[in-house]
Amino acid sequence: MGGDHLHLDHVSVRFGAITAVDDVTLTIRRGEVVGLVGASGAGKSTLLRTINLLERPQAGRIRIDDADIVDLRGPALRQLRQGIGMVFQRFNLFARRSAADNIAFPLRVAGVPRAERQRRVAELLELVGLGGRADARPRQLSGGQQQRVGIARALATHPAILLCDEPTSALDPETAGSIITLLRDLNRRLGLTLVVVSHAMDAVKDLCDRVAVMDHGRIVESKPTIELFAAPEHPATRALLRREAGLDLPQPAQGAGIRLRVAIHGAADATALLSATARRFAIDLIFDHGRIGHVAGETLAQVLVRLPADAPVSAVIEHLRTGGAQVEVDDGR
Amino acid sequence: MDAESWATLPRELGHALGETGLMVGVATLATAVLGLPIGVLLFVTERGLFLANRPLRLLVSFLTNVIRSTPFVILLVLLLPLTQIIAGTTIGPLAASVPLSVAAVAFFARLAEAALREVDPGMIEAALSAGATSRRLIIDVLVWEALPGLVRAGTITLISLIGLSAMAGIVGGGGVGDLAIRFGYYRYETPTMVATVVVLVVLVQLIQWFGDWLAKRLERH
Ligand SMILES: Nc1ncnc2c1ncn2[C@@H]1O[C@H](COP(=O)(O)OP(=O)(O)OP(=O)(O)O)[C@@H](O)[C@H]1O
Ligand SMILES: [Mg+2]
Repeated sequence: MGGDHLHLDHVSVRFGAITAVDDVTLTIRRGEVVGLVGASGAGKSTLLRTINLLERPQAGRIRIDDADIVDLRGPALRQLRQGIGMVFQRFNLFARRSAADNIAFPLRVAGVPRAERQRRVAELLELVGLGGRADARPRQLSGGQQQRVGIARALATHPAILLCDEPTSALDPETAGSIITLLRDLNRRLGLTLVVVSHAMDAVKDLCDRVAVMDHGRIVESKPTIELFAAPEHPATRALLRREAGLDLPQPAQGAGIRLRVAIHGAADATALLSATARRFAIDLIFDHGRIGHVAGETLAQVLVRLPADAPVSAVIEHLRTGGAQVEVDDGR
Repeated sequence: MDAESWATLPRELGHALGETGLMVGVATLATAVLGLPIGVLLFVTERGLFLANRPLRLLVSFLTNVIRSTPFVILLVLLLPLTQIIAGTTIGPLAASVPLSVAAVAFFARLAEAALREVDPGMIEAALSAGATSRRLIIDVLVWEALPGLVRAGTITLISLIGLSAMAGIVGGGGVGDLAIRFGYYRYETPTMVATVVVLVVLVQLIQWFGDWLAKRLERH
């Protein structure tokens, strides 16, 4: 564990006039789970695909375990790809092959002998909880089961890195949750480094240690997941979070007063801090909106509160910050 | 229509069936050996695919289109020199097999290309990301996944071949279709002609049934 596993250094990918990935620098540690989020077309998939060179960058370097991979071709490139698993949004299973044959495919590519292959396939089916479905065709499996086959196939050759492009976007919320649990579990048990692309914050909040936000090909913000949710800085991050967290109010700035956006770790702490603040300044805090959720295994309370117009705003903000909250004045954006 | 004609019909038909079998058999073999690889080539050299090669694709695409747009009778004549080289003669069923093969290869290559296009690009991506070689990708993913479609393409090609082989009579190729033309068109022996046409209909129907059955089976498998 620990140590840099993957390093992208000023990577750019262009498709004609479109710059899909624009000068991205990103370091990922061994065993880390990193999310790449952003609006549609932000360049997440393209960036992910540079890591196994499905997309070759026009500029920049990519190092894996300190070896530069950008110029790899032929057998060396195929060798690299055998060491990196990839999981897809639409599963991309081979339709005319059974679950077992799908999982065996990378093993055949790697030249693993038949007996060893069969043993490994059985082991992998067990690992993803599909013990009895070896002979099922993809279309006989549910979406969640298909994704499990996809994950087993990606892991077949013992890769150290798993790339996931929207692994839960085609699944219902419950199934998505089980796939996220599986990925998290695999990360812990196998020490895999995971890079997970998602356009939805929801999918990364329970899975990722760290999240990088992409906007127009650039990484505009990258920090530990809990911090990103508690204190989003870039407008693109805020837009994503607001859309998802349901903290967008139907009407901006209703009623008088100054509105604060407050984020606090721990639900109990949140209530305590807010009521202490109200007592201390002898003011009424009007709650416009709020939500308590779990992010990366921690509780995060996010509230929109309104202060009376005559309240000592900067003193209140100061007090909340001293109490451990992230505070900003909501300007209706 | 006389008794003698009726008496010789089974023998003539049997003989003609043999000739048709030879011509169609040779052309089918050529299709499998050349048509499928050319179809694969047309597909994988396309822009954005793993063996993208624009000049090569343009050339092959142009050639198949020239062959497909040339009326078969003209192709038959144009290819006479080639036929002489390959078959050593320009008349008879074996000679007729040469232009038939050329036509069938071009025809099937295009149908095969279309069948390969039906393969979900996601599967190609999955195979590439597993580090598969082009060879494995083509055989174990593209062709394997497109197999039902390729069988349907083969069925269509085979049936077209039987139609085309009727014109092989021009170079003395014989065959069932030629028999029908000789009896019906030149000798006005309508009952004999009807009998041969019936044989052709049954033949085509059998091929269609078998092709459909095989494709369905492969789909389910
Ligand atoms: N093969 C390609 N050829 C041309 N343009 C491409 C190609 N792949 C991606 N693009 C363009 O690059 C940009 C980034 O695309 P990308 O798929 O990486 O976005 P994304 O963030 O994954 O979006 P989504 O959430 O919709 O999947 C888009 O403008 C897209 O149209
Ligand atoms: Mg994408």
